[in-house]
Amino acid sequence: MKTLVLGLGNELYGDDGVGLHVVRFLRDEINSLAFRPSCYQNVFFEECALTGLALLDVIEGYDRLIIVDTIKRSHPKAGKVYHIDGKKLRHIPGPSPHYVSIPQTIDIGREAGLKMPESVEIIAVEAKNIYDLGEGLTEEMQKSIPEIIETIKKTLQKNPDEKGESMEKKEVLVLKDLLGSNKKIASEIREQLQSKGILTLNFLSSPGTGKTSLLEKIADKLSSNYKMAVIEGDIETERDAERIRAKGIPAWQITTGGACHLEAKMIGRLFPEIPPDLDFLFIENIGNLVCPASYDLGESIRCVLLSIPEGDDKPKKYPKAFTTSDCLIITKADLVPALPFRIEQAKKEALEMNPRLKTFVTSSTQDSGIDELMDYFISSLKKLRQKNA
Amino acid sequence: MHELSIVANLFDIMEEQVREQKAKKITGVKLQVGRLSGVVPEFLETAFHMYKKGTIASEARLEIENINLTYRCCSCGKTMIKDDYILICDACGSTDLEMLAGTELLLERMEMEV
Repeated sequence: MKTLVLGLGNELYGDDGVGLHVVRFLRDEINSLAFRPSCYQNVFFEECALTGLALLDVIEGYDRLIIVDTIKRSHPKAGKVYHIDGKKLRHIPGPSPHYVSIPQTIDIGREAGLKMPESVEIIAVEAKNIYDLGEGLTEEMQKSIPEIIETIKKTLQKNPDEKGESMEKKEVLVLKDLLGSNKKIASEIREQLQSKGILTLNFLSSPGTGKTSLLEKIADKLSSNYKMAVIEGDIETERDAERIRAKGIPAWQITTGGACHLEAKMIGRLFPEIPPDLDFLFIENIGNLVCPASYDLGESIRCVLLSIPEGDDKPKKYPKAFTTSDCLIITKADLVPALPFRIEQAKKEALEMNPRLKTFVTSSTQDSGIDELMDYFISSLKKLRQKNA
Repeated sequence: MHELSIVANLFDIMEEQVREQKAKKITGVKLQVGRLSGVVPEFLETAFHMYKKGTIASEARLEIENINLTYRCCSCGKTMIKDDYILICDACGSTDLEMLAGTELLLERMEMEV
């Protein structure tokens, strides 16, 4: 329902301008609300000094019209407010041929094929001096402004068809994190794994960065001295888990069937199967540099991988992945001679966004940079165990 | 594109509130979405209006307030908006910045008929 609150009057005639004044005030107040209650949705405010048929242009296209205007009675009390249902207005012609009343204006509009408001209400304010020239409202009138505004608000809150039986509206401040349930599960997972002395790492990257190849290489480096396991996330197939199992490492495959990221509850479901004496638990997330960044899986260290063929401009393009990670692993460094990737530029861009990022440059096929990465993982594991001890 | 799964979480929280308040209808929902929240407000909106069909929120309108990425410099104390993600203080050049806002993904308030 499209509603027009129309302030009528002339500010040059003193109190006759009160309709304009309150409508202006109310518009500013409602526009400054952080959250517009539904009774103020689709409500428009206009002030005008026109009368009669000239109003047709102003009121056309609305479903509901609320007019705020002054009235004069024989013994007026300035500022007294009335709410008048438009249906009760008489269709009497005006005192002169120049004058057309509101009901007449609406009838004429309808005859002319214009969309005229179905519901008309008038907030009428008694005034004393509406024919004396002079700007500004009298003191008496100023005092009644809050009451006039309150009457307009109450009128807006009431649906004209509901005859006053409107339901009570309640606004509740909630302030709840939409990812709160995931964060809660993730922090439980982190707490449990850390208390067992297991260092959990979440590998994040676009598809084809070489996450599984790096994990195979890590298995070669670590498995003789450390116990590790891998959780593989993919949309379909067991292929990655099979590659890891071929190295003699326990691996679980989570297939999401289409979902673009892993969630903490998926890790939670595997929890009973995770051996408690592990040193490292690696989680290979779904190949996607966007969505997985929003989901904490309970990891101790988040690693973002960036491969040489992807280009050195990626950090700024995927800010969430790079700002939430602890460690940047540049992969496929053996391709640098063939491609225009500037390693220093990529590192610089990533570090500008996240100064605490640890950076590594690796090649799984040439076995370069992996030892430095292992030193970082092993020292992080030691730190975790020291904290536990 | 995980906005639909986030909207599913949103409806879980909304249901809780409806039970708590014994509401009959949800008429309005306001979210705070940070620039670094990882979601696209437009997609969130589409997902919301798709998901609400046939629920007591079917007539609810959605308002989204976008929250700027705001940092405070730990060296000089200046507060600044960093839309370029370059975490260097505008005033003193320090890189020791603390994030104040920008990762929000919150259901701020709801309007219900009770």
